[in-house]
Amino acid sequence: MEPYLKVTSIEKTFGAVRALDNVNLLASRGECIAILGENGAGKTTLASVLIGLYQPDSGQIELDGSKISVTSPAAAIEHGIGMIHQHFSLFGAMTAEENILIGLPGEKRGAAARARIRQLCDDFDFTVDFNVPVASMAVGMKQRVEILKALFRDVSILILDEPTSVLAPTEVAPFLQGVRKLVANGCLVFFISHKLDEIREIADRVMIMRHGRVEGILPVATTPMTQMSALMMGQDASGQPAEKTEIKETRLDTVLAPKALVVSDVSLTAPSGAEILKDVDFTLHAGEILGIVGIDGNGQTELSEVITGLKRQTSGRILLGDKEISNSTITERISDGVGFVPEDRHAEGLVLSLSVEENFAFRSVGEDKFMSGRLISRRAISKIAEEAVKVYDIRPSNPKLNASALSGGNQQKIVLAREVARARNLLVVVQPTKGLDVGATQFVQDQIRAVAQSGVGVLYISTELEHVLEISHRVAVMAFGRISGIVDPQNTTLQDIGLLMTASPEEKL
Amino acid sequence: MFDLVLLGDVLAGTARLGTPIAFAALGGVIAERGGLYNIGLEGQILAGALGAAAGSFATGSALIGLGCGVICGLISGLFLGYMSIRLRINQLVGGIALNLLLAGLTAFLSRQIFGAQAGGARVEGFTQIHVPLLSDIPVLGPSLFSQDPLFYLLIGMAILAWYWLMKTPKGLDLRAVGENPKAADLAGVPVFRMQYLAIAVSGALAALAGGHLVLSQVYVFAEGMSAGKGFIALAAIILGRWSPLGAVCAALFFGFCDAVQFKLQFTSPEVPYQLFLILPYLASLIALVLLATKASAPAGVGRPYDREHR
Repeated sequence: MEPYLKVTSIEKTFGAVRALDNVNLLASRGECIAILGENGAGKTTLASVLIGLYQPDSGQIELDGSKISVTSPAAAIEHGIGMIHQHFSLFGAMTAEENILIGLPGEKRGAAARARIRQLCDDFDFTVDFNVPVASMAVGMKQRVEILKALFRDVSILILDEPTSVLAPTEVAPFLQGVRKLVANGCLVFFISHKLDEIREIADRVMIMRHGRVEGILPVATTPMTQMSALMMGQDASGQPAEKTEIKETRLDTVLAPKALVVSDVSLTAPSGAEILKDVDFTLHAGEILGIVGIDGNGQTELSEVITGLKRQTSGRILLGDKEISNSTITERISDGVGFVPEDRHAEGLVLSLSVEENFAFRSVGEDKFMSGRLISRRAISKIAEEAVKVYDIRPSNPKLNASALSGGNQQKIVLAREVARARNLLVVVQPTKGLDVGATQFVQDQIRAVAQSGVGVLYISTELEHVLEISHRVAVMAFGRISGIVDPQNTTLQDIGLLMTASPEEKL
Repeated sequence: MFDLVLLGDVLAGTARLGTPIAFAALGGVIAERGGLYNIGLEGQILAGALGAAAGSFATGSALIGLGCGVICGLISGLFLGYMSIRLRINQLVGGIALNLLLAGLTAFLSRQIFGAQAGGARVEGFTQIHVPLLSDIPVLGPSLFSQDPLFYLLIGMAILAWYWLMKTPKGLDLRAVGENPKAADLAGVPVFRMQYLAIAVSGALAALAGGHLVLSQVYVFAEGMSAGKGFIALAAIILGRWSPLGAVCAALFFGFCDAVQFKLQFTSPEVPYQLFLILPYLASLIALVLLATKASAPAGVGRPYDREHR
């Protein structure tokens, strides 16, 4: 049988970066192909070519035996190719229906269309609230709206870009169930993911990419996980399981260690009167990693912003060691040795249009190590950046490139390298491994452990529960702007933490 | 002092002085809702004015003149669109460049067309239309229902623009483009086509403002006759909260302030007239401050959309 989709010798370069290098692929309807690869391996770039966001430099795409050119996302829709992006493409102020129908010809937006949306919901067992704007939906429901949008456009090829990375643990299983149903209905599904266990569960074949090339397309059932990760990581790391560092065993004696950070009764009230933080109270010791978990939007981000000075608390005190920093400016906190890896590295962590080395230097450009006399020393900046690029294995390894030319994982390494260097007393990290592959995650966590071991207090805020439990000495759970409990990750079950995460303010534990 | 005759005069002045600002503001709203700043409104008013004057001068028909003006506006709008959408030039810079270009170009062309005689050539214009019955209403009648046809066109266009933008699928698509062009693109909205459409319509509406200046007010083309109306229109867009009807109301409010200050100049000759000239601008500042909340500019306005941007 002729394959439904045939991709031949696709090439795509961005400046000096070869994002796709002779990519070939054959796929049929009714199968699920996982795309596995490190950050920057070209997975999302390939997807963007298929849906017409990027125009390939060369190569061709055939659909059902005939050559097609996908010049725009609208053309991709016409050919039945759809994609759910990692960051959703929804309009927050509009309802689910408006979001699904937008862009369609006017005559396709009537009552019949509305009926069909509900029919699709029934067919796939999707629960969607049609009466509220999308902005007020939970992430899982937003994702279902995105999928409905694709289904309504009659996609035969659906690309899912790390679809489960945004979901709560409980939302994953129903989501995978929905994907299975799509495949059973004859859809060709591409499932971009880092998570080997999910790939095992859902995919028929796995396509492994590395440095823009396809390293292999293998049947999932007969390929051992070790082989997958070996292909993904390249020859030199073949079969080597990620090393676990020793620190987990060495329990920290928190009573004896000096205090790095004391947050006492901190509250934050929004101008609207909503209580975003309510009496948050904890102590972080030097050398300790305190994990903070909670369902997204329960005050974790705001807490990090209050501690680093981006927001001012309504009441309460913050002490860095013995020094009160409740009303210090951001600059003062930085010079007191506070490092901050923000959640959104694009908007807050980096200036994408500056070079990698400039990103290393900026915000601390006045420090002696970057200066020669009263002027900025480009040479010193280059030297420091080159070292960091080497130590952190940032690729491509040219610090003169714009930060925007790097993949997400490598961008995160820039931020981390800079902030670790700055954190003499306290390091606040928010979602440091979000969207990173296995290797990069391991690397980031090792760096954070090393920082803690050198005597810095680390506040590790994340929604990726497994990572937090693995790295933290203690874990604080946030719910509705309060700390609903602080637990020992060694002696706590996921169920306990789940209960604390959803603890309503009245039944504070 | 404020008798009914005076009130009627001020209302009539409001409509007359507010109409060009309102046309330009309406054009600005359409462009910004599609994600493009149209800073070139000022120049497009001049282009429309020159086109209207030339067309009317050549044919003797005000209507054909208006058509010529609109075509000039469309072309200048598309030119700005090419700079903003295709070349992705900074939209403020592109708009200012267009203003400078059109200020010079219209001055040059007007001398070519009308000769160098002082005051330019007088052209055919529109006459006032008296709406039957309504124009007999005391005070309101003569001031609001005995206006030139372009005032009524403005009201029609404002309602049409509101209906199209807020009630039709295509209007929703345009608003989506202005909020988040990438998401709109991924949903299949032809982003670039919608933006070209918006900026062309925007230029045409600004040109109608110029047409009003020439064909309904002074019947000649004069260099720099837009006199900042395109910039006041930009303020009216913000004051009107990016809504077509709101922007038109805000523009008419500016017209009202202008009409009041004209009257004050006549009634109080002992006060330096420059003080009164401040009034419309002062009023707009105060209004902007008083009505300032988290105003909702379209989220994507001013940022060129690049599909391959990473």
